[in-house]
Amino acid sequence: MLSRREFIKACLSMAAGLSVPALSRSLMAEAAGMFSHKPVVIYLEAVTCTGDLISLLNARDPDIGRFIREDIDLRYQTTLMVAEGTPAVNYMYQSAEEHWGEYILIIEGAIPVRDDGIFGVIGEAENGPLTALRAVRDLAPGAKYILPFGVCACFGGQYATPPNPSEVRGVWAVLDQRDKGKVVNVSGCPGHPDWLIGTLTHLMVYGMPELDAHRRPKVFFGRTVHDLCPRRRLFEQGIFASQPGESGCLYKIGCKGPVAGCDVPLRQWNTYYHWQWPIGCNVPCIACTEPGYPTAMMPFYQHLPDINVFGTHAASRTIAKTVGLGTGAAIAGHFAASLITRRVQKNYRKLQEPLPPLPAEPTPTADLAFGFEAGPDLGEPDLVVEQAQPPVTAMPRKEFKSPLARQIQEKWKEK
Amino acid sequence: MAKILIGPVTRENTPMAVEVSLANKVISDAKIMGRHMRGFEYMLAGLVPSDAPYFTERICGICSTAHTYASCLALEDATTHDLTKNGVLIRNIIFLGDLLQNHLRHFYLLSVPDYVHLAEEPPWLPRYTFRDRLPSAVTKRITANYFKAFEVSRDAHTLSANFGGRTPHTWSIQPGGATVQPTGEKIMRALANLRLVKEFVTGAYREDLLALVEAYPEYSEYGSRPHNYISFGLVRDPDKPSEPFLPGGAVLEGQKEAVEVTAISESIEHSWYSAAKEVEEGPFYHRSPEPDRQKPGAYSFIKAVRYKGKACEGGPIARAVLHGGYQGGNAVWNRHLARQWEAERAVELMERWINQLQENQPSYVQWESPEAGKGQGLFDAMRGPLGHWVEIAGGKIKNYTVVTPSVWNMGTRVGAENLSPLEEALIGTPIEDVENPVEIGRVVRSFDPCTACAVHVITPTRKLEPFRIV
Repeated sequence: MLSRREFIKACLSMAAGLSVPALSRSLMAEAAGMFSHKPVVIYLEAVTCTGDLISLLNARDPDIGRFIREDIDLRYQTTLMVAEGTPAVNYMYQSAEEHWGEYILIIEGAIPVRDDGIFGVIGEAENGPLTALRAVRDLAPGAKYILPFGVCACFGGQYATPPNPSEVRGVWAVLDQRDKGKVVNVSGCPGHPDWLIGTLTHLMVYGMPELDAHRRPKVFFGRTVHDLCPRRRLFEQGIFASQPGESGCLYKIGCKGPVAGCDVPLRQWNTYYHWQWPIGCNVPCIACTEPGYPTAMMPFYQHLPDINVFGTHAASRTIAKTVGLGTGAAIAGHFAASLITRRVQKNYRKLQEPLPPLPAEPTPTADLAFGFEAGPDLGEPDLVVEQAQPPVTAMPRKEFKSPLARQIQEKWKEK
Repeated sequence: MAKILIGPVTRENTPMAVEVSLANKVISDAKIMGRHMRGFEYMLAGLVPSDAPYFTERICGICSTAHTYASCLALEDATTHDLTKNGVLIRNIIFLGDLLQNHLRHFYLLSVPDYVHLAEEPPWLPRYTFRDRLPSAVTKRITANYFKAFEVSRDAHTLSANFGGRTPHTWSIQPGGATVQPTGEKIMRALANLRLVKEFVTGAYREDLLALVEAYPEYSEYGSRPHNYISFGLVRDPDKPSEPFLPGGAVLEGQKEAVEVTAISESIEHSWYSAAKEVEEGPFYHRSPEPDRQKPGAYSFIKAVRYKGKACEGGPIARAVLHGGYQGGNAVWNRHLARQWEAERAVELMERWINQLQENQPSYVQWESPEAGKGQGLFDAMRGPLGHWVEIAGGKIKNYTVVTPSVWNMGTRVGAENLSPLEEALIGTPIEDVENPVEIGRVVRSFDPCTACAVHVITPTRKLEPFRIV
């Protein structure tokens, strides 16, 4: 079997003809021999566009049908599963009970917390509507790992855009403190199938991967688009595109590559051809893997503000140097004049703060690290949101009627 | 009177719930409930217009290209803008690739498991107890094609990604055209992908559908409803970018007519919203209503939309009636057959259009956002008519309204009698076994439902009491 180091190296290099799913497949097959059972996966769809699942269906070598059939034991996935209605929900709970402490919980979509989550009802349990919030909190304690898939599940994403009507949060923000350590964020809008399958493989075969400040696996999210960009040379030479559709560096028309942590320039989308990513299509990257996306990244065609402030990324320092040398003097002038800049900067500073370290007791505000406290001033008086956000409190557990559900509840109590 | 509540209705884009009432084992009433909401239109207010295509394509992951296309049309309508032929062709090809992907995935991944015993392990188990009426050899073939469909639908999506850069949530469709230039490599790869898809669409898809039609003949009757249809027209004409290639239209009780946008009305009578502001100028340039999760009589976050007061169905069957000379019924199998027919037409169109692409000729003309203006983008998505309406003031979006196909097909009722198309279709369907109501899902899925895009408006100005189930 491949060593962990070799696996990571293979994922990092993305050499021609070596796809992560193919690699994962053989590894998982070998790993399966070590366990009595294929990994049990529960895939919840919260409030989502299902784009992440559709993206996952676009995996190749092998196709996802074979992966589902042969490599994992998929117990709940509302777009693919055959069961429907309350029996499906019961089956999900039954599977969780059977494999308590072992299953992998993949969550797609953001979790609305407004009014106890009633703005995100995802099914009908024995005792009434099952909200996404309740499902996540019910299933998280028994999960071995929790994989929020897609930027909405990780950080709130698209649906957390102010005014954030249903008060959505990322999964990490709604979990109990004791479950937060199991989270591995697989970000992106949509997430790349390789990222999910590769992370899953790493978890099954080698355990917890090395994570960055936002709990994303470093192997996929540790380098920035700007660092890996094939047009980096054009940036350094000051050859910039002035409108979308041109083949220069897209930095001046809004490329967020310098703050986007992911390996898409190497990996590409769909077929791995070299133009299948934003910059290959001559449009700017919108940093869809980052916390704060999309609010912090909009307007998409407005270039980044003073990028010195971002701090964490190595690339930022490099750019700062380059800009300092004079290539970007004109850009800097433009920044100052930009009204939008303030908005981007304000949100960006707030949203890019790394997650608080785990052992520390969280304050209620830290718990909502990715919640937008207030929308940007849009100049529309009737758009102003009520400022106070309710702290996310533990959901009161309801008494279940079915004997099965009651058994599960007993189990919670023991824990 | 017995009631059956199915939630989540799985195998559709984002779960919804269906509640049916039974009288003598026949459905006498049906309610379609979209029970989560997001509020895109309020998020869009205040953004700069050029962000709208990327932002709105995230409304739906399975028909993202339709939203970005419609959004671009609305923005281009707000100014006067010329497109190049290449730009329109590329957009059409990206959209049709997505359409093929959608139709294939809808039939195989979402619909087939209702009729065929696919595999004896999760996620294909548990399932309702029903008899698989197909001969075992056919079941075996369809099962093989089910797994093959994972690959072929992916190839259809790859076809889009050849020009769109990525699917879902494509990159290159922008107001002003498409930002990629067709190169020889892209064209050859697209044709290669198309060949794989064509083989499957004209072969396996057709055969498997016909085998199901033969084995389950009662679904040529179940799911019928009045012959009211609507379409905004499929894709744009490459030679006349302001016109749809297949023109839209409405069919009211069998009579065809052109669509008058002013005759479209929205209702929130049975939706969880309170008092919309009165419409001033046309139905779609106004603020959205407030949510009210406890409104008596309401049962869904989806609104209702009517054309001349009638519930009209959109989707492949509407387009088959308008363009294909189709005059038959609209039961479950008719919808599926219309979808397969449309997939074949899409392949033909794409073959023609990919070959018309002019290598290395411009496909994008820069679009400048206006300071003020109004625009509408009317477009047919895979599952029905899609409208984007944008109002720009001070260089920013003032109002943005989206009316999606699912609001047409599976919205709420207006009054007590004027039901939405899916509710109409469900009524009258007999349920053989109340413990295994497999018929409901079969009728529902013939519409290609997608709740993700149906539920999108809300204003957050007031707090609600926690919702209680009594």
